[in-house]
Amino acid sequence: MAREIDIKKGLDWTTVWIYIILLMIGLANIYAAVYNVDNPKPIYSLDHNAGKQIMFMVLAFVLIMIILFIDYKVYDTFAYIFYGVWMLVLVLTIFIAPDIKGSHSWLRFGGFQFQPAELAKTITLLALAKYLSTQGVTMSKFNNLVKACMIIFLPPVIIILQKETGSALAFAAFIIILYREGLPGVYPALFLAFVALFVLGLVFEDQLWIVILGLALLAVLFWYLFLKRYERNRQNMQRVIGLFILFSAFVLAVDFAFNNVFAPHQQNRIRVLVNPDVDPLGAGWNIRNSKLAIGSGGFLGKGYLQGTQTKFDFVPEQSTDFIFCTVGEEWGFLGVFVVIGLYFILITRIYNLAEKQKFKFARIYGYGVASILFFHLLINIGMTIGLIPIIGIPLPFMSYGGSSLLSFTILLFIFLKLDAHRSYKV
Amino acid sequence: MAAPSKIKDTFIQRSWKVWAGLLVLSLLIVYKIVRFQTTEKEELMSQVRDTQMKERVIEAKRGNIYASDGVSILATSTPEYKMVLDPTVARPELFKNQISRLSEKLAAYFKDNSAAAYKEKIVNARHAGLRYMVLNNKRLTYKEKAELETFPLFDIGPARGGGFFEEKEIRFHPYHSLAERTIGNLDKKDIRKGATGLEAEFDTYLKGVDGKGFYERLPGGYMKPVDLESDIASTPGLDVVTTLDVNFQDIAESALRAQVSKTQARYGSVVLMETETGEVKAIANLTRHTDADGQVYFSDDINYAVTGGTDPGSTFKLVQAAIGLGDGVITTSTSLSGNSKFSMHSAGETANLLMAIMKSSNPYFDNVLRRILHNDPKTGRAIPVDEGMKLWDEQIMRFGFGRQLGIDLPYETKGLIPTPERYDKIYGKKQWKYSTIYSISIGEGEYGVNVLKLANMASVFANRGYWITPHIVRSTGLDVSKGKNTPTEITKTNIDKRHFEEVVRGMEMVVQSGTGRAAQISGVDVCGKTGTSQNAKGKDHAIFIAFAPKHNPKIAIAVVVENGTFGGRASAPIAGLLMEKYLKGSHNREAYKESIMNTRYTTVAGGKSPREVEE
Repeated sequence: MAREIDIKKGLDWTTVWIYIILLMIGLANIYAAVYNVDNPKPIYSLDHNAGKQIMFMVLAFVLIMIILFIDYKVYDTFAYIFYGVWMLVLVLTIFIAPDIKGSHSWLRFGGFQFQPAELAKTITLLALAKYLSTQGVTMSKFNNLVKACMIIFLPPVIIILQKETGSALAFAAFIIILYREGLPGVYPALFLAFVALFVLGLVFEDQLWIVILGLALLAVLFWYLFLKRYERNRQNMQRVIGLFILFSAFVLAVDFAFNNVFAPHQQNRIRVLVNPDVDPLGAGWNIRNSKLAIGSGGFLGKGYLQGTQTKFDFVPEQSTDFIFCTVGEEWGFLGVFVVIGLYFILITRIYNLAEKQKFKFARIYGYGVASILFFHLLINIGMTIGLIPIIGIPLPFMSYGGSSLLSFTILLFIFLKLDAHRSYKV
Repeated sequence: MAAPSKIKDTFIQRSWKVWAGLLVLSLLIVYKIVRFQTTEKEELMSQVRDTQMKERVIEAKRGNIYASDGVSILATSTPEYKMVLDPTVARPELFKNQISRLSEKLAAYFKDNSAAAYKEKIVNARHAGLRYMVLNNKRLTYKEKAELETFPLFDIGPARGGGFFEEKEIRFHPYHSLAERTIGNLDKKDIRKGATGLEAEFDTYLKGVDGKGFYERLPGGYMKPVDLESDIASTPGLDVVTTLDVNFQDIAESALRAQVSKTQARYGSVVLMETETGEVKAIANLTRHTDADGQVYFSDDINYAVTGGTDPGSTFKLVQAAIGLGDGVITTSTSLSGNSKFSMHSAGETANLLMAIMKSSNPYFDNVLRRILHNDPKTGRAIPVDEGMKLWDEQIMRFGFGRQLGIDLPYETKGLIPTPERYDKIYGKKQWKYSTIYSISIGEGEYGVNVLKLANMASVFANRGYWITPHIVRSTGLDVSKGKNTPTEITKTNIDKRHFEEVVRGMEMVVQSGTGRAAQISGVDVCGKTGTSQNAKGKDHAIFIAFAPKHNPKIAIAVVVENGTFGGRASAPIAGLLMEKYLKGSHNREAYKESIMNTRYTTVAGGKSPREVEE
């Protein structure tokens, strides 16, 4: 009895309320996305996604109760075991899962299906948090860094084998945790540099020499403007030239890989970013229509259920990956701003709570939760407004889908459970 | 303690950096969305319109084809409808109330399915979410559509009931198969394009100019035509007024049908044209078919009149006579004695030119052509046959042979004439002489002549030496001052008028007391010539050409009945009948009437035209 009262007291209700509000906004928009003017069905009808989402919400509530009831130490103690078991499940999925549009990532149980890749993020985060909170493990040690990276990158490799590249990309969010936990700044800097080079390589796809020339110019400028006279020694010269060669090689390799490794549809998904006319009916279609949906909403939107762009698969995957468009079209800029605002509050609150954790495990886990949420938000909204290629990952709590809703719920509420017990452990 | 605090500082610093990164990326997203609402809004909105609106073609109404009176419509476009239902539109209670009644009425109306079957089909479609179903494939007229519009779900408009009618323009021929081949048909694939006959030749006039409008994309991707101010209206096609006379055409076809049937011919063709204007008043082609049950039916699907080609037969003797007179190699009193090659002809036939024409003397014209081909008309000197033939070719081409006449129908054949080049090819250069090719003197051999050319030849003799380009379209657009007008191009033969008078006297005798007596019209001097084009495969083709009256001629005609044996018997009666009708407004030839109208031929059951039966 005492524990339950404590949970109620210790639970961060602000986060819980934001969670509930996002869920409700999501449901309202899923309904709008599947709403058929000619043949309206009630929101709870199981014939369409909205009704099913309500069912998933009920399931999520049950899961929340279970998470809050289970002892908080379980997550710390069994993190590696969860991890091991789940990796097995992921590998098995490749072989058991039926082929759905080329991807082998869905497990079927009777009438339901579940995507283990979604929950893999939570489980990896638990394992990573446990490892990083181990006494003596620090990111400045290369050995430890390699081990952490192995924990992080094993699941996405398996997930890529399932042909679910989108979900695998979400694991990049863990770089933020590593950085926070002391990863030398040069790694994220290199990562960002490579991303920038990748984009530049695309923009100047047919004139790669411009990028190489730019890099050379940058190297020369760096040598003369940023290095003091006494730093211009042989060793630094070698470093600068080495970096120049590394970056140039990367640009050329990316170009080669892009044209020879990626499938044409994947190439187009990326190319449309710099030129939406590349594939106007394929990848460009999604981006253009989602932009149109958001753009046509105006400041106040067209009104609930009044959208025309976001209905009937005009934008494919309307109720899942492109749910943000519906918000934009029907609720306008105001709706978009409210949703982004809610996410901003949620994520910063989780970061804040994480910083307050006295125990490293909880702190790292919290940081991971916020980072994963942020990463999803960035990729998902980024893709609907054409900042990022179309990567099929859901908008946390709002997108239709049982796997993602339940996985994000577990992710968040494990943290809330850990946080509720923050005051206990002194 | 300095070191730990430094580490802690670093961590706090990093925490802030993460924060800052988060903030920057969030602001980037907000910035981008704000841009959507402001600077990029116009462009996005125009793109929305692009995807919401799709261009559509506003089809131009195709022009009508009229008969010469400018009133009788030979071909026109009329709308046809199909009954379509979107079964998902009606609200549940409405659907439930109406569906049984609708099914019963449909079953009672179309009589092809039971009410239960209709109901099941519709209910299943509704259940499956099908948004478009054709209730019955029957093509409906406007009148039928009006009746069906009172049916349940169709009486409350498409928005509430889901029922509507899909419209399609089809070509309609009020006179059914009359002049079918001449009027022509539309392309089977592109039903907006003429494929044959006048529909093809005057397609550019008839088709009009399509307009442009828009469809609006409705929720669910359905395209609905919208009327906008920006629509570009279509320009209807011009009407085409033909020279065809419905009455003559009708008589020509029925008379031809009777003759073809009576003589068991394979096909028959008639061209009736005005000598003074070149207007074609009737043009008929009939092919006789016997179906599997032994039933005989006719079709007008091959335009023998302008595309065919046979030997002109004895009718060509008229041309030889005129050229012979013109070249001065013979006179009307020239007597040319027999030639053993043509054993069938007696001496009387060769007494003079008129007798030769009347009796259609083969030896006489054999000699005439021999003289023509070996004579240089300028100098009167003898020349080799190939040189003479070149000059002769020039002359017969002025009669319209071996060239297109320029009629306004597609696929007109040039036809063939004997040429020295052709014989050089067959026999080797200079390896032939007149005796090798003498049969061309009586119109048999290397000829390819269609019925129109034969009618035109009759016209040349009627006009005493010239012809006016035959044509079948009087004007495009009912306003004659616009569009294509009557061509009045005249082609002269360069042979003196008096020579034609002489030949015409012979033609008169043909009808008065010669082989063409069946074409006589009481009170009218008819001039004609029979011909029999030899057919190696079977019965000969019967040819008859004529004009009337002898003085101030009005009308020329050519009749060909393939496998019709002898021209005087099979073809001349039709010519007489048609000319009498033209000149007198009625005809008084009960005997022919009876023989024509009561001939034993079988129309297809129900009096339907072959075309209707085909469908």
